[in-house]
Amino acid sequence: MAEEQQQVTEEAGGDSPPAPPQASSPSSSSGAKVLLKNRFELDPAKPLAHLSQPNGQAYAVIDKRDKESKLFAMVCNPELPQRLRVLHMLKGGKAPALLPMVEWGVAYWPMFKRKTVIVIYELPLGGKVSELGGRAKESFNEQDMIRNYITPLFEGLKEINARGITLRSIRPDNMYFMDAEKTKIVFGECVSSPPAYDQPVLYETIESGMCLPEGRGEGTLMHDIYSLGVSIFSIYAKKDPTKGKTVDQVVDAKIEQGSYAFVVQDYRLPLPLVEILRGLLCDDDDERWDLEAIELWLGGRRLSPLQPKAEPKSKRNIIFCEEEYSTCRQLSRAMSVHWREAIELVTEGKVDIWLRRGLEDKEKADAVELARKITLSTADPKAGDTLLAKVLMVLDNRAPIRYKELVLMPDSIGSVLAVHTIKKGDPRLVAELLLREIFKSWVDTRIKYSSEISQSDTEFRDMRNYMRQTLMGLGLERAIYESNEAVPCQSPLIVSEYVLEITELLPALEAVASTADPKSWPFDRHIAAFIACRFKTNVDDHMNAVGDPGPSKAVMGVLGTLAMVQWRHGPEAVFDLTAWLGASMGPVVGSYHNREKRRELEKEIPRVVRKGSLVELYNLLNNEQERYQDMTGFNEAKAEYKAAQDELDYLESGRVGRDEQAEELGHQTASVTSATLALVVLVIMIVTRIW
Amino acid sequence: MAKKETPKQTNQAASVKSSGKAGVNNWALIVIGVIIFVVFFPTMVVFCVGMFPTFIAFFIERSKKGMVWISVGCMNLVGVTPYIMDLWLISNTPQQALDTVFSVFPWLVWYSTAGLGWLIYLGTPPVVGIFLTLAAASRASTLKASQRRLVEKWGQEVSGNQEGAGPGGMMRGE
Repeated sequence: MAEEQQQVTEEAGGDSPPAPPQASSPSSSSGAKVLLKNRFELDPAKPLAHLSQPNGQAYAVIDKRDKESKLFAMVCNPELPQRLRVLHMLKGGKAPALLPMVEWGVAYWPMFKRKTVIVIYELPLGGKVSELGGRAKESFNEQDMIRNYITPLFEGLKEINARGITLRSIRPDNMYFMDAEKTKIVFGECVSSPPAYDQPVLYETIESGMCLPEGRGEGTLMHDIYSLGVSIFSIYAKKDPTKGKTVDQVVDAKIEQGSYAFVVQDYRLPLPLVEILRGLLCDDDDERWDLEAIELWLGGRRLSPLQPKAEPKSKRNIIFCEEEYSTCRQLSRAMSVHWREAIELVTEGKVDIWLRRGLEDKEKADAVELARKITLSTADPKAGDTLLAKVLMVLDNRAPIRYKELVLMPDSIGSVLAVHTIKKGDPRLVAELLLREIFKSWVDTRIKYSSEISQSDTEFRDMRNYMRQTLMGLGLERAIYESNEAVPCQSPLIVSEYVLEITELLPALEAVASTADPKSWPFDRHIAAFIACRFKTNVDDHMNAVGDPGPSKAVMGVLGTLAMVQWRHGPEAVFDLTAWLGASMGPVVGSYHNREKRRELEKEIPRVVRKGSLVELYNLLNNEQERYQDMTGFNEAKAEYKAAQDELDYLESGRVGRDEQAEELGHQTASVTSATLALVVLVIMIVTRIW
Repeated sequence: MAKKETPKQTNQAASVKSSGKAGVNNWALIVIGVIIFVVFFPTMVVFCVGMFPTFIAFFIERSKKGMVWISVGCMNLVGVTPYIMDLWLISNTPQQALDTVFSVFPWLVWYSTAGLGWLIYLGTPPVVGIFLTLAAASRASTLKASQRRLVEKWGQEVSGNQEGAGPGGMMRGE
């Protein structure tokens, strides 16, 4: 939870997330301009710091078609999965209250020394909304606030919600004024990182705030409404209640005081704003104001402010890690932070006793007791972790899944797996979470059924099944690609090429083929999983062959898989890649027994390689009829050789002329000789006697 | 009501029939033999006595194929034939036959020719063995040449010996 421990910055913009990889300064490595889609000319030497986001660096850009247009480019962090689905949806049409997106694409960015996603936006002439706080105090009355900020932002949110998108990036430093007069406010970008990844904990609900940045998930409209509520307060009051507090302290304070009390503190708000902020910052998702309630409020209907519901408190507190706790939520929060100590507390039975006697919650006490007894009856040394994860779910049903250092919403499992694999380089904990079926406990402890639960359950099961299998095209790698459409192929060979679509795979391999080590293969577990996930044609047979211990079958599996991709998606010729693969065909040529056929193939392969066609190369080497003929011919030759060898062994054994057979032949010869001799003598005798 | 014959009964009847037939055949042979012996008495006396070494060879024969009596018999016949011809061409009487049988010289001839038969019988196999050995050497070189051709066409693995049977062709990185 290192990131959770980081100090919340003074600015409402909040926790600065980790910097993108190898982001050297523009002056050091910039030089040539970067061209996106042959239209947008980006200048790496001209960063626009005031428009940058934690994982999206802004740069000046010129549209070659319309040089007068005012645009800027946002270069995304290639180590994070972008929100590709949202990118596709936003490209289709303009959302009125969203920073207008003009284009997006993938291009080589010299400072990252690899390709990455670049999004082109219209330039907001009025700058960031958060910059108001740093300038001369601009005071609003509540009417200005409602008219200039709340109403347009609400309308924007409503329109975005109608498209089925959640923004998960609503905060003042990601809101812009499109005009220089600062009259038109819009939400900023929401695609450069996983949902809510860059959100300071202040702008996130308690549950979302507990999560790792990558574990917050797509969320729902209710999450955006909460963020909007905090943003309204920040813009109006220009106050940051998180000043000097760590992320954990902010979450604990929100749990203890309630979000409204923590955010507003002692600031004196006008009554209408109290009303809407109490509605928007309600900690219960079911009670929080929805779009209809906000619309009614904007229409002038004044409602009595929502009062926070108090959490049930125990008659006597439970002591854990030298602290006293009176509510389930507080205790579960503390237990999730002090994991080892919490396992002891649960296995000693103190939690279910406290629930039964202190809180008088028989249902929860029974659930914890049952889980504890089942765990104690198993010999699994890691059962304590599973038990604690389940107990935490029972104690705080609304909280995210917590497993050791992992805290995540179920719908974020893809992002978490991707970030832990790509950025943190260690997906073992996520794999453990999936393989130990923690999600099953999460599904079992849900109070209300919803389609999202069923969907998450299915997703978890699929991922677990992929991870349990070690064949090529499956395993952890497959789970990553299946759960993240925005993760580019992570094969070390082509990771710098940022391959998002199957159509880009062969061009990327072609690009690296000329410089690749010829002794290596243009294939690995990541490429296999990427193809298995993104390629809609069944290549299971080829993929299974790749894992074959026989080198010729494995090589043909690789060639067959890539040939299928070329056949379906092109390009027509990949010269370097075909040469690379052609040079690896030794085992395949060697799998033919007939030496003449081998020589013929050795002559033929260079000719096909010059055509750049993997399909032709595959067909050349995988001629079933010729392979059959080779096999039958070889078997016949083998039998012939063996027969000759057997005869030779006999001939060279020294028994020839001396054995029974020879003797028999000798006797036969003797009989014939005698008979012939007798016949001749008798004939002569008879003839001489008669005449 | 007539009983049907069982297969066993049918077989027994058949075997009784066949043994009866064989008995008749044997008797017919014996009768024919006696008639021949009586009609050709002088000839048969000389033949039976003269071919005595052949009968011995026949009875002492151990090999399954029974070749020795052919070798000995053929040569023995060469020795007996002049005396039978004497009977037929000069005097075919029992007395003449007995005179021949009781003379020493015919016995010398008969046993000498039979001995020659034995000599051929025992002497031929080593000679044949030498020829076979020479033929085997020639056959071995033909077979080796054939094996070499197979290895050239199919590789060393055709011999069932995988050692040295590399994959051939281009190797990765070549």
